[in-house]
Amino acid sequence: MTGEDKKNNTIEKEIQELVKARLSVMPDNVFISIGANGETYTRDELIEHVNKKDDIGKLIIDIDMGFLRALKEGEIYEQIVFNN
Amino acid sequence: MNKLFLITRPNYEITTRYLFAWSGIIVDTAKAKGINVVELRKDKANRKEFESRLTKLKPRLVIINGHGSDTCVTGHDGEVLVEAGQNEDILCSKIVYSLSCNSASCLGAESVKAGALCYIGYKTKFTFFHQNKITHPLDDNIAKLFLDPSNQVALSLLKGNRTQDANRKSKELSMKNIRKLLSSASSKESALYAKFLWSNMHNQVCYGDQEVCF
Repeated sequence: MTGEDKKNNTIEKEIQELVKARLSVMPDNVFISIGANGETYTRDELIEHVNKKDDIGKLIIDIDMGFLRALKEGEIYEQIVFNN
Repeated sequence: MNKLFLITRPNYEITTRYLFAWSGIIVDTAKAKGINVVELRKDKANRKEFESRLTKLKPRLVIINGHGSDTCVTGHDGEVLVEAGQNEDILCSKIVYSLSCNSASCLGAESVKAGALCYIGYKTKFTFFHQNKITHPLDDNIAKLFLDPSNQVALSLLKGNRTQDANRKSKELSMKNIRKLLSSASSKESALYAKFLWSNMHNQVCYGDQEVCF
């Protein structure tokens, strides 16, 4: 494994941990419906999917990172101002 | 001639239970406006009924609630109603709104190529948080954050708005909810809801004729 690969792995691991930390605020009595088969997930199930980095886990990470990217690039701020 | 629209309303698990309840608002609104509604409820939301009603009654507006993939949308018990490469021509000359995962990415584009006037839908997963209120989904204020904006597409179309305006008004309602969720007065989990709502909004697309009205 090259130094670059190691760095990327560390970043990915850190992102995974951050996403899990942000999911941990989801209340016990709240669920999320995702996907073609109508699956409904609890907070702990979502965290488990992020741990496994399966399709659902990757989707959760993508949504989280997509939002942060849009926030950083000013896209969300623009929309908020535009809609005000 | 009275306007006519067709809506599918499967109801067989928690996600479709919520969509069933929220789509009831669309049906009630249409009826109050004197618009004729063809409802395919529960097990009537099957391919045979869907194709038969579209062919015989020729509704100009079709609203599909259910699950989906890149290439198809489904009805009750996951039965495929429309599939790219199979029967997307059934949507020819129709304005379509599909509240389902992914279907805009391939089926939406293919339907427009096959003659659909417009296809509004989602390029990726449509997700929503809820409190599992199976008996009273409409009392769920968390689900409301997600399903009111999606309902807005259909409600705007019923009002006679152009497709691009129906799509825009729905996104504006999403942004209004996101703004509320990101405000300092909101709960600690609000930012989590805002992210998923942003994803729905960001992946909501309107293909085909942007000027056409119901």
